Amino acid sequence: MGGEPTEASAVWDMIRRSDDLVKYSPNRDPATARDQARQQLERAQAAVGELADRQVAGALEAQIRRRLEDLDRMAT
Amino acid sequence: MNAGPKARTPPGQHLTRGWPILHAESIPPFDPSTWRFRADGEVDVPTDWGWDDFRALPPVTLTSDFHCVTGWSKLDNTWEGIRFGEIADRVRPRPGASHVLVEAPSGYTANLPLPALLDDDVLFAWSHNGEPLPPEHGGPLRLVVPKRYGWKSVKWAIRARFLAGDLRGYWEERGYHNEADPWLEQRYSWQEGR
Repeated sequence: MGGEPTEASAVWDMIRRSDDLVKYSPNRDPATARDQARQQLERAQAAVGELADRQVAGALEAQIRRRLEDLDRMAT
Repeated sequence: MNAGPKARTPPGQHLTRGWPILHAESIPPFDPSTWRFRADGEVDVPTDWGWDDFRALPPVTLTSDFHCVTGWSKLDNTWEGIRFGEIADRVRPRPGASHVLVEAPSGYTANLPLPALLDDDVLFAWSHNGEPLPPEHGGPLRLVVPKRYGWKSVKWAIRARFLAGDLRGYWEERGYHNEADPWLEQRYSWQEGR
């Protein structure tokens, strides 16, 4: 996939950036921040599919799913 | 004499004069007439305190630095509250108690080894720099663990659960380091065991 990161560290960095968006959300419109965090996670989810190490990919995928569930819970 | 700001800033951190507000959950309401703090689990004397009872415990005033895993550090914070050790003395941890999970009403948790919480600089704080701790910074009561990244310093703390083994907390389960020592830059779980 052109331009998409394929290193595990790059995927983790996308996940970490989504965490920061959530953590700093009280300083701005929380709903907008959570939307941006979700978009970041969706990009990370797409990038996980490009990783060669499937064990690492599975662990990162689980971290992404957990955070998407967190965002669903925060929205209710 | 204290070392200079540079020497007190861990690797990968920058100093901030402000106090950024970070949290993932909504701020819980506080009613002093119904607020309770519970310390239980692997202890001989499980105890819960109301707000007035908790505030009647012997207070301490401690100054320490605060390091957030997102990259900022805030030096010279003066906290007033109750030392964790004061709580431990009252509930008497059993010999098998090795760790503590501190909880907030939202279900947010952070875990720490019991010896780390018994350090003299660890407290449950209700005041920061002489003012009541604002709700957005964890008021009425937050844990303060200066030697660990800030996510271990649980905001809106209402329970300390003493455990016979380790149990990862909210961010620790989400890929953040179990120990979280800022001087070792222990940010992420993939660094564990190195």
